[in-house]
Amino acid sequence: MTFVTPLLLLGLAAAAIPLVLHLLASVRAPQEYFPTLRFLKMGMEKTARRRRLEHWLLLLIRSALLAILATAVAEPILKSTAGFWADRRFAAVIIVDNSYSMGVSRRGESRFDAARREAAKLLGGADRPTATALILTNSADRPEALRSDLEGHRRQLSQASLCSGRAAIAECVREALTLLKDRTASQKAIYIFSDMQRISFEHLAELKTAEVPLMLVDCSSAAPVNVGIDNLKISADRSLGREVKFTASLINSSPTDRQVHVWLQVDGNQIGETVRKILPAASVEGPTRTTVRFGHTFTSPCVHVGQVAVAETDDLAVDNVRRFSLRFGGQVRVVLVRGVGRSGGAYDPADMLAVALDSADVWSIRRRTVQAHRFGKASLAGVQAVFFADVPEFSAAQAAAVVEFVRDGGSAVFFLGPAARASNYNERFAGVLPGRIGKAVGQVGMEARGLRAVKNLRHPYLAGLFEAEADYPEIIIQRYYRLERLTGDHHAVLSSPAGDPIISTRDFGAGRVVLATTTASREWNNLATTTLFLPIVTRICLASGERLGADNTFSAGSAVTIKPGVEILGKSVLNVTMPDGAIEVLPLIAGSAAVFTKTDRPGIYRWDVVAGKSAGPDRPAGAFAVNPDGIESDLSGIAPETLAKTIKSQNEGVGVYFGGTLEQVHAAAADAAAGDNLWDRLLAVVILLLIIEAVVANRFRRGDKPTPAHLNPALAA
Amino acid sequence: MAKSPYLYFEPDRLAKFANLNLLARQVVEGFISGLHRSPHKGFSVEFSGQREYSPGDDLRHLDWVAWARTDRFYIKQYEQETNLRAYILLDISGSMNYRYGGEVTKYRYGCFLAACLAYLMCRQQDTVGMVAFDRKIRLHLPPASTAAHLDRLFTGIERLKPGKQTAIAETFHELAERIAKRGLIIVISDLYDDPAEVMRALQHFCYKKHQLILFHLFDRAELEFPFRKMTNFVDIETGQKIQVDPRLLRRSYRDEINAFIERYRKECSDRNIEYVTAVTDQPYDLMLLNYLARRKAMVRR
Repeated sequence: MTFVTPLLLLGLAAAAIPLVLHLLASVRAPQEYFPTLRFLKMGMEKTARRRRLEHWLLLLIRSALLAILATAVAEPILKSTAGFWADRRFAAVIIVDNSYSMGVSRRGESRFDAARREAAKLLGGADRPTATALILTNSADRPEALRSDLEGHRRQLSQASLCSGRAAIAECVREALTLLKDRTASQKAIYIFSDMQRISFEHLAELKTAEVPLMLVDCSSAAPVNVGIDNLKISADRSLGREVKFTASLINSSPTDRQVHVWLQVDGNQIGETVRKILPAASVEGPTRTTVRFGHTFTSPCVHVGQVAVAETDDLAVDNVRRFSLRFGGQVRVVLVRGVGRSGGAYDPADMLAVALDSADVWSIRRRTVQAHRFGKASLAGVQAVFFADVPEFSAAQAAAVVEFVRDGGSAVFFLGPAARASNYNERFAGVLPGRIGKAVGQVGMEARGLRAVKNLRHPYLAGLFEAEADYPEIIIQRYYRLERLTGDHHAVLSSPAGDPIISTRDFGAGRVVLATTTASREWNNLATTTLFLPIVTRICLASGERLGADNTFSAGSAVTIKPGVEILGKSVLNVTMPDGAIEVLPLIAGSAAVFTKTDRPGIYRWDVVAGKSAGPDRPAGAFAVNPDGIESDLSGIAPETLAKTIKSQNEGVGVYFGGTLEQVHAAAADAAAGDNLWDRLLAVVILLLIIEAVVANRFRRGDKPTPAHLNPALAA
Repeated sequence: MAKSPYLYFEPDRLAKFANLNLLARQVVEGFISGLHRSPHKGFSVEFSGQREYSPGDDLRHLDWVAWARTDRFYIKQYEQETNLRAYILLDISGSMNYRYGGEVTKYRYGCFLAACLAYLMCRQQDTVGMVAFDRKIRLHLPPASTAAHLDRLFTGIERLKPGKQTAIAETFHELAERIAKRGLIIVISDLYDDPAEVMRALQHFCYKKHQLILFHLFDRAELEFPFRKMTNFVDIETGQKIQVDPRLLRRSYRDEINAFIERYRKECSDRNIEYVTAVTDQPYDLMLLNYLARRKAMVRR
């Protein structure tokens, strides 16, 4: 037995009070004259033994009363195995981690198998809850309330599978608390079946658990032996005939160093192989990392699929391979919208843009030019980017078409100029542009001094064009529109020394908006005549192509928009062949796109249009790769003791019990049910003793005989 | 009603006794004609009955009418009315000087009772004497029935003071020897002495052919023992102390005192002694009235 406030045990001294009172009462007894003491003496002689017993009994009871009261106030904690499940109205929320890290297998059983087994024990055991909810951490389906259908939970558990992404245990616990909040069960608990992966338990300690105990079943039987690929970067400058660089990040979560063979495979052919030795995972700093680089030059214009893989088998197979899908050879179709024309090449923005677009030899850009007044929704069919060269204003229909185009993944590039009406732009593209277009500032002319634009060399449009910053040419801006009320998500490519964006980008929907507040001609700046203009225009187009499918690699669980690239006429359907060979049939929405969401399994997904008439020469087909979330390769765990201590430090009084099995967790909880404060029970004993004391102390009064009739004046009369 | 000059004599309280006489249940001899019959059959004024003549009988009492009717000799017998000769024995020991919450002590109650009885008996021409005692006899007035005697008696009671210890049995034995003529002995006491000795002394009176009436006085606290706190009880007579928790002892105390009373009641009944308990919270006149009413009914029966 332990005590919450042992200092209060000093109150035990109060047990001596009855004895002291007894002694004091003896000393201070009042004096009373009485005719004869003979009957008192006779009574005392006859009842001496009984009175002595009663004296002692009363003294004992009163002393015990005070002693128990003092003990109760000190809040004794009794170690007992009864208790925790004494009340059968038991509501529990079961959280099962089904992230990929739970796929770590040892001796034929994965952590997920162990979690399901232990959870099933809870649902089928003698101490099973009366009402439960099952939350799978990486599943989108979430219970709305607790229910008593345990068989349903068992079925759901047996059918559950691993999913990509971090297991957000804290989020799940928050949901569990919400579910339990209105539950009237006297006993509540949240069971977490997890491998105690550190990243899964982030922010859990910050949660106020409202005194609902957390039962942590640690399903990680031992430290894993695993080297995984948690990331694969493919260089952005991808084009046929030029080497594409692949950088794979390897992570070692093993307690020992590991030497692994890593190879690159493209279209089924092994391209390169390398050997790496990785140091063991440090206990505090977490796993160790290293990178492996491969290069490959693609020559044929088609969809290429491949993977970087670790040859050695280990405890977690899913992160041994990282796949990719790249599309080469397709043209980026661009529409150039000509606004107000200017006489003479370098002073005509449309001409300057046309030259830049047409001269791109590293990437096939197919340009089409339309006059501003003829521009409409139809102009954007099958186009990946649209350039506006000093377009004075937009009609509502034109603006709506542009917004829809960008939302669907296209890129809209606005080059302003003297003709542009800022108010029209602000009205038509409110919320789309990086900011509100204000007044044009600066002077134009031979004698006017321009501003030296500040270049953001980390922006993808400028990054890596020259080896040194000094090699970048000076951009002189004489006049530009000042942007006001900038959105927080814009990125400046070029800006004035005062910070006003000259060229800025903003992602909107699935696409991007690029706004140049100055001209694409020499009229207001020297940009179009520098060596930066061509790469910027080219990279804008390149980026548009990437978003539309050049790199078709996705994380598992994400929704993939499949765009055939050409308009499919008539009722159109496409088939998606899953990594395991199963085929999913999808309708094409408006003949141009389909959304595929069943990307739970990592691998290569291939699609082809099987119904409908293609507007192009070929029946469109393609592929995309799905990889697990690389964060799951970091298998470093958090010690349950540490986690429990942290949670308890933030949530005073909450119980956190842990163990490798459900039984161990229950045993820990039973141990702490110790924790049941006994003071209320002791108070009950005190009350009982008070009653006994009252009975014992007053038994004479109760036993008094009535006055004999001959001594009763009323009766005698 | 005029105020009484005596401390213990309240005439207004005695008005209710107008129609009651203190009737001895047993015939006693007296020297003033009164309502009490003499046990001595003889030749007096009241015809009592006849008996057959036997040689040696005085021929003056021969019933000639009976001889004429039956031709046999009968001697007439007469019954003589006598006066009551009473002694009131008042206990004035220390234990009688006790009251707890009530208005009067047992001693004062006894004084009132004695005065009242003396007056009643004198009024009906009976002689009444008075003895007050504790360990010794403190007052002794021989029986008389004159007004002057009554005055002496009342004054004597007034001059009494409560004494110390009691020696009831010894005093009673002494009195039993000293009172020559048989009569009515009225004892007013709390009888806190050895009951066996007391009863033996009372038996001594009975042996001397006295009729006995025993007024056993109590304070209500003596019967019910109403004390609650731990108390040091001090014996009034001896000064002895004893510490008692009344709550623990009340039951046994009441058992003991009830047994004490019952013992006197039974033994008095066995010896034909009238035993009357009186509690000081009951008005003495009311108590006496009840007693006399019961006694009258008993005599008529």
